[in-house]
Amino acid sequence: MQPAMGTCRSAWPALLLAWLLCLAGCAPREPFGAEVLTLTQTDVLTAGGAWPVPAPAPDARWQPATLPDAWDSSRPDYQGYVWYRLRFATPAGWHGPLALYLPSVSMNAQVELNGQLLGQQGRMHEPVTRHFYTPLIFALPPILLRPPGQDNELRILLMGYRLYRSGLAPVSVGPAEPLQQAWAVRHFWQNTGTLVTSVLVLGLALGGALLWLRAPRRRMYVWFTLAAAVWGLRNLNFVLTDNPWSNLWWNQASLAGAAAFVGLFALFTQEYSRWMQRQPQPGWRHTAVPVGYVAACALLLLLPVDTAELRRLFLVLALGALALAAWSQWHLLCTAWRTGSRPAWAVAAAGAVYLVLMLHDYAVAADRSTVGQLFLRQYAAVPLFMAFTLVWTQRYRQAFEQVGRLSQGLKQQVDAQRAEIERNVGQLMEAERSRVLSGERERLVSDLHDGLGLHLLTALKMARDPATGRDALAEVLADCLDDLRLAIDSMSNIDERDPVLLLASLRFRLAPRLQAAGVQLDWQVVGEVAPQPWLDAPRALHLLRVVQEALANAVRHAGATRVLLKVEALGEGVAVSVIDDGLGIDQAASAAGVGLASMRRRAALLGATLEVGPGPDRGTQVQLVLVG
Amino acid sequence: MERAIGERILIVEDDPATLGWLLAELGELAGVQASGCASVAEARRWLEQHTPHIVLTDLGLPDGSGIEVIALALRLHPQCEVLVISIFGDDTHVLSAIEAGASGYLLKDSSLEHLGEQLQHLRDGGSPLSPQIARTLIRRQRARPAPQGDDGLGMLTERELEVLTFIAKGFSYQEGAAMLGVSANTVRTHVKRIYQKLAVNSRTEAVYEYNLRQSARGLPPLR
Repeated sequence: MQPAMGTCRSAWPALLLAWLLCLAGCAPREPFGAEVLTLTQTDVLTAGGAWPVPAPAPDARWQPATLPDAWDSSRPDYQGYVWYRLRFATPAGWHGPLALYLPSVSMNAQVELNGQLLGQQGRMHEPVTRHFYTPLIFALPPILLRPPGQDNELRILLMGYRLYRSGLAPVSVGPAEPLQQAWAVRHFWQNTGTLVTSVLVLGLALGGALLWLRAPRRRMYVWFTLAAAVWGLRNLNFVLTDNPWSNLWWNQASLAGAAAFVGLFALFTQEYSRWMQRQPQPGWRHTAVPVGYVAACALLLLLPVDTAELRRLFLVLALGALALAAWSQWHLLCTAWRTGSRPAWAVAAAGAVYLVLMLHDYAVAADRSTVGQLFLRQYAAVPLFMAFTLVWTQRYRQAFEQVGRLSQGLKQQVDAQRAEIERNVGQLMEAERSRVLSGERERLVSDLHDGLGLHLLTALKMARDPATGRDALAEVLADCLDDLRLAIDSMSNIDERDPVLLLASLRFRLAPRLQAAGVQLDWQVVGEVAPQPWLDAPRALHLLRVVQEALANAVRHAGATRVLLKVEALGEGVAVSVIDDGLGIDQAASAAGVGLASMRRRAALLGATLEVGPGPDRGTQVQLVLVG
Repeated sequence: MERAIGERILIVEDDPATLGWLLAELGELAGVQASGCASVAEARRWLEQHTPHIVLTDLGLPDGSGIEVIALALRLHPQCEVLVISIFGDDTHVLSAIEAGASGYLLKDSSLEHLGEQLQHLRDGGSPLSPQIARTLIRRQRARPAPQGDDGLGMLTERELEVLTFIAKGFSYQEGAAMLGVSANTVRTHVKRIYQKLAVNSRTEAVYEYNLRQSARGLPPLR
């Protein structure tokens, strides 16, 4: 992006220069070579304002005149038809197609040669086709010409309006080719080129409107959009040959539009220079003069103005426009000077071009003795268009870079904060983990010590004792495995905290073994037992131990053949019962004493109530009620 | 055992004592030809040279996981049954082994009697499902989106879910069968289907690859 912008900057003055050279070099190439006759001597006959215009009477009083005939000086404020009669002798050297070229025929013309109608372009009567800024060319049939050396009579009927610089420029007849070329060049600069500038300017208006939509509080864009729209529409005056309004009103609108543009552009430059220098928008007080000027221009459209007043108004508006344009230019130059920004210089240069061309146009307008000169002000649109494209391209690029920087900064900030949060969370988790771990470690150690360690110690003693039977040893070792299993079970229930699943796993594991030993382990779940949030790993282990102890008592000491393990929903809590069909509490109690004590201790740790009593039929019922 | 098993069995177990007693116990079964390996690498070499009917493997092996042995055995011999040797038979490792294609597990503390019984279980309906595994399966089934089209291979039926539910609640096959009003054998069949569905992906994949190799050698494919 950077190199491209650099190229654009250095190319800018060269482009401006090329454009100026183009403007100068492509001006209409008139006069012509010797084979073309350019006629300036004529007779005129005023024909009034009524259509159709009758052919001039044979005794009509023609007046001699010289072309160009500018009506502003020869017949000021006249509006209507005028006959022009021009004579020329047929040259000997004419060959090929011939043409009649009328560079300026404001407003419109009809042409006859030796009494034969050559044609007319558009309408000669109201609403007259507006050819006030359009060159006309007609094919000249050689058959209509008199033999070489004899005189031909060319009659041109001109329809003219006041205020349109009406009149007839010198007329050229001769070989078609040079005349067509001259017509094409003039037509390009007066009509096609002007249309192009209108399109460019209306494009600028569209761009400005889009910017304004994005930043409704920026009056700069409003002024710019309005200025460009007014200017672009106003310049269509040169191009549109038929229009829905009266020709006089159109002239009024065109004049007001040109002036309003200057006012609106002045308003824009004021805002623009403050914007470029990063100053606040100007208050309404500072903009009163140009706003008033623009309002006056708008009012002009509504006033029915007669010719003399319009001329005076034009003078006032023109003076105001000059002052405002100079004021704008001053703003632009100051801005460029203070900011040193290349786009600002480009805008100032384009503004200067506008000012120069405006002066040129004023000079043309003030010269009331001739017709057919070019108006050039609209061509300032080209450098202005380029300059503003540059301005907004640069702004866009800057905004783009700024967004990039901002998002970069934001990302860094977010990253830093995330790292900070992660560090904090990490520390917290580490602390929590080590707290849990040390708790778990203590529990595990004491558990291994009391449970597995004790069992293993017993097994060791038994193994060393020659009197020990293999079965007894196997039983103790199976207890070791059960203990280990219980510890693992208590851990794996951590997520579920479901007493049913915890005890179901115990039952699943023990049932086949008890079955093998001739004891049937029944299982019953009553009601919907809810998960118990308090049932963490240590409590789960206590619960499992109590149940296991009760089962062991039933099988080993009470000699039961059938044991029921029941889990029952008790409100939010749960009751766990082990009911056997053994000897009953009294007979079994002595042997189960130690086991019972340990069960009570664990029940107390669980905050549960433990009831040991006779079963429903016979045997023993151990019930643990856990309410959390 | 009255019934001759008549099979070639491979045991992959790194604990020499366990390997020793398993070899000894299985060797006593009629018609069984048991071999032992202590690592994944050893098992690979053995499997490349022999065709087992049953493979018993521990999960924690010195040079890798028993899951690798399962995959290897199924890839080379898709028709063989693989059992995982486990201490308790209900931890989540067993579940992942079943999903890898194992047909069940073998409890390490089994006596000879139990060994025969467990091999019989395998034929009847796979190893008994623990409540823990049943619970995990139910949870997983609920989390799974409804199947699209007819590709419901891995989906469990309503009945199978009912079977899983009573197992998760701690009831035995007989108790569950009574609750559902069917026979215990029907329940076993459901459990077998559940096992098959668990392993279905790894199984079909293995069979598919095996058939590819078979057809490359011009041999008939497995059904």
